[in-house]
Amino acid sequence: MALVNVKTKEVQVKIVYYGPGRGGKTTNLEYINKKYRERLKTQMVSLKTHDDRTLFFDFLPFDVGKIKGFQIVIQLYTVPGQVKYNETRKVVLGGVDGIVFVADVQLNQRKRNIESLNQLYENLKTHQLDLFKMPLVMQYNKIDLKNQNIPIIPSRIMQKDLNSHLKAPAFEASALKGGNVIPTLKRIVSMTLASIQDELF
Amino acid sequence: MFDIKAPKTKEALAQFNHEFSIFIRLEDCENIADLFNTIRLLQNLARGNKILEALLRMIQSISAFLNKNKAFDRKLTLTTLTAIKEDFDSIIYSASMSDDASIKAYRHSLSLFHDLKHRIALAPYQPLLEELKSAILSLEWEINPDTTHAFSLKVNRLKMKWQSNKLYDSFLNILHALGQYTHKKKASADEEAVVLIRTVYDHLETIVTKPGLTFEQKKSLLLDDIQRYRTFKAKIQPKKTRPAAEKPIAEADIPELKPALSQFSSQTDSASMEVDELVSLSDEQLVAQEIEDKNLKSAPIQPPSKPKTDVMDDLFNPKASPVDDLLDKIHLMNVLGKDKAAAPGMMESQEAGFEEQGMKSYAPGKKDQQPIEEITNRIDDFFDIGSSAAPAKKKTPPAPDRNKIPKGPIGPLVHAVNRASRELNLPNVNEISIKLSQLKTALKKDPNIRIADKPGEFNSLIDAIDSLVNTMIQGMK
Ligand SMILES: Nc1nc2c(ncn2[C@@H]2O[C@H](COP(=O)(O)OP(=O)(O)O)[C@@H](O)[C@H]2O)c(=O)[nH]1
Ligand SMILES: [Mg+2]
Repeated sequence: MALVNVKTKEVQVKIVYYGPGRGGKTTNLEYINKKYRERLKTQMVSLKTHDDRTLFFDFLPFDVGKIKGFQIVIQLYTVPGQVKYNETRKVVLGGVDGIVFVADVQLNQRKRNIESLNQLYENLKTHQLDLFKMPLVMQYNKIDLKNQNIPIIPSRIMQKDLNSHLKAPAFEASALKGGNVIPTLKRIVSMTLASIQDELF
Repeated sequence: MFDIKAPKTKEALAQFNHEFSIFIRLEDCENIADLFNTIRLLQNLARGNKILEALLRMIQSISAFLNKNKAFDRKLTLTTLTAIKEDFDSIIYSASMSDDASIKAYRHSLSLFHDLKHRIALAPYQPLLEELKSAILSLEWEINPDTTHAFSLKVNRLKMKWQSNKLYDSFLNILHALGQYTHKKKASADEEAVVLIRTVYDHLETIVTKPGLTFEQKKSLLLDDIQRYRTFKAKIQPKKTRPAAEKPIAEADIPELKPALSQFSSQTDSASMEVDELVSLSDEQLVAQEIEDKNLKSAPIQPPSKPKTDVMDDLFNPKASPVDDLLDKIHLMNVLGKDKAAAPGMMESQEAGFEEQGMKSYAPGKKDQQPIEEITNRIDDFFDIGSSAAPAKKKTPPAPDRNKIPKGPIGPLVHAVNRASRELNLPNVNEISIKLSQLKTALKKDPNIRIADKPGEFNSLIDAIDSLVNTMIQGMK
């Protein structure tokens, strides 16, 4: 839930990057952090295992400025990908306002994408949240691999696999090279803010 | 004329031989002053005899070096010194010596002298070269992040040392590029890369350590290697025109899978659904993005590890942040067991206190709402540093906080262009904004930057502004 401090007029919005492990969630945040280093004035916090995988989560907060007198603070989180960390994933999802589902377009990841999305639905339910009613953006990541002769899933199939029911806006992306990372982020931020605009502004 | 039979000369030579033999044995500071005196005496007597003068100068400078530098290879230095002295003796004592023989002896000494000088100059780099060589050996053994990293490190060290030597630096540049390639490709790197690294290194080593090579010889080694590198690069470059069938998998080959969430969705006919919005990403866009990012981040690059804080630092930071909250929860979950800690109630329990502090929470809900203009504008303003992906949008008049004119050398210009973009909705204005911001970033990093340093950027900016002004004039007419 978006937290609003009526006294200080500050709004905190929590956006979680969710998806199968190694899909590129951390890479999304790292790109954002690098690109807007000067502007963010905040630090990215990464809690990593020794082999460079997300242990608990990554966290990148930043202040986008004022909208109608409210100071807007966006907090980006990622969840750990490994199957065994599902409890942590649930905790990180607590109070979420918007979700970017980062799917991996490599052909051999197809089932894991679907499973991860199904799990997201279940995990949100434990917080009494309904994925179908959440601001959500799909990201089909690692699209750059098509130039490296790695079999990838055509986006039409990605849409069918993941977006048949949700019908969320979707982006092909390359988090590694920065392709469509920012458009994805802008989209989820604006959807999320729009979802609370009536009550707030 | 140097006359070996003249008494003065005889005496000077005797003194010189005496001091020289003491110096060779002891190499001590007091004796070197005496040695230099006798050398000076002989230099006076030998004035006009270029060969003898030169040999005496060599003896003098090697002795001085020996006296000062105790660390360098003494054996080599002493051997060189005595050999030159022998050449000197052979010229003055053999009365029958022809001019040709003298010149030959002199040449011999000269090459010894140069060789020594070269080795002395090389001494500080020798260990670095050796380290590079052993890094290459490891790379030949196995390409992994450690070996590629070590290799790049060694190359960079030498690059720093040899910045001013164009020739060496060119070899190092090739090595650097090949190192980057192997690092990126890891185990799938073309085997030839490491072979080529080895070849280039061997040539560099030859040039650096073998003193006798002429400049032409060195240059031709370099040119050969550049050619080899180009050939290799052409080989590894992905073919631009690949058969279309090769990249996308034929959709027919992909098995049917049950779409995600089928079991939870109320919708029945998923097959006929309209794909609602897919933003694709072409190769060209991807390349454009990379180029743009490169421009933005050109100058000072922070070490990549910096933005991430150390885990321990964060855990022990007394300042409470949302991260601490989450960590507490995760920790509790581990202690209490997941059922208790992860129960949704836990999240809400916190909010009781929040409300007293003036906190309210809003549940998010997808209502397919269009964001109000203020949201769109704010987000565009925040994120568009140079994002070419963002199409120019119609914007509303500026919100008050946007009227603040940014400081800095071109801040006002950026502001003016942004306003023009918002209020006049001019074409091309976005592009100019991007260029201006890039320039601004560059200026921020280096306020002393001059137009001459970045002529391309300035020129394209001037062109862009020119065309903007034209459009504005036309619009006013
Ligand atoms: N080729 C390619 N690799 C990517 C891309 N995004 C992430 N990766 C790589 O995939 C691996 C896992 O990424 P990471 O961000 O840690 O995944 P996470 O587990 O979802 O956080 C890393 O090696 C990344 O470099 C991408 O867009 N293209
Ligand atoms: Mg991660």
